Amino acid sequence: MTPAPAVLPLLERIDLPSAAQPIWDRIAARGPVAPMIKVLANHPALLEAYWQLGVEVNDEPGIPTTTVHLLGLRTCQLDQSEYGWTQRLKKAHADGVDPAKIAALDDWSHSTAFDDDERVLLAFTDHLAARAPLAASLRAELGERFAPRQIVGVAMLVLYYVMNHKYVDVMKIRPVHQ
Amino acid sequence: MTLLPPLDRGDLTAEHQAVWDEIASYGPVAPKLKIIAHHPDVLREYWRLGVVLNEQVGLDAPTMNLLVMRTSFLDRNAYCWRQRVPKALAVGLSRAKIDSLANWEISDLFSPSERAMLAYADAVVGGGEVDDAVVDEMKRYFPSSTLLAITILVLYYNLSHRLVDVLDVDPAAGNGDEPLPWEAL
Repeated sequence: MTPAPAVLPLLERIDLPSAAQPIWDRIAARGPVAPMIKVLANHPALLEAYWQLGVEVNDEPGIPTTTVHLLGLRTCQLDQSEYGWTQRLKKAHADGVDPAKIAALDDWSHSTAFDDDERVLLAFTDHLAARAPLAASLRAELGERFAPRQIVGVAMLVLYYVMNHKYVDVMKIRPVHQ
Repeated sequence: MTLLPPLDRGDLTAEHQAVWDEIASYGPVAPKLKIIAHHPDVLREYWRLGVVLNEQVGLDAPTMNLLVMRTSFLDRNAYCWRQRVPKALAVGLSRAKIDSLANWEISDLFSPSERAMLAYADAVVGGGEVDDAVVDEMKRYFPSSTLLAITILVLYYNLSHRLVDVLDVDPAAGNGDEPLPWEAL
């Protein structure tokens, strides 16, 4: 059965007003323009602001890139986001995330593959995605291991991913399989 | 007690004080923003996305506030509800509509386009794909750019509510006397 089309059209660079095409070019300079970006292009000002927040949370959370990918993939599991998983997995492999960690991610709390920092951040991710209150012990561990800037960075990173997944679901945007 | 201590302008570098000043030019800096200020670069981009959404969503100010308040209601977020009520009243959203928002489906105060928008917001917050009939109703009243911006606006506030929860921002901050409609349900 053919999946339903996206709620809004996927635009290309040529569809944008000339004043907005530099935004597209900045995005394209970082890699292939993803389907969710092509839908966001229906509102160029929004595209720019949404993407810019994504750049900031992805590039500057204050934790290793490989950990960013683990948290991103974990959020995809929790949100059951096939789109997010497909997009993220390619980047995770390219950036050298240990395949054993990816394989262990759905049962991370019982796995020995992760170090203590990763375990605290994965627990934080699970709480954020589930909108569950933080246990006192987790609050304490976050405070002991991470600076306030990192805690804000990781919180916004995970919540940005949650927002992405919901947006992709609502807009019926499908992953590109390669 | 909040997860992290709130900061003030004097805690930031000169470069980041410009971000603070940009925010303060819109009014008092909200308690949640003082905590996000621990990462001022994220604060800047989070704030700017909010500005684009608030100013370019394609709705008039009362309707935009109606949408934000419905999202706060669905998320049961006391902090955001109480922050928003005075702003909504100030831009002309009626008290009667605010009081009817909890049960908008059975109220005759809302126009067809408002009803389409509220049904859509309910579906977006509910998660997953939205029924075609709900989307089709939105498309009757709103152009593509507005439909998209409404979607992101709802999700942005959903993100904000989760952030306020995890940061443990005082739910009474700003306007603690304002009643919470979900407590009467």
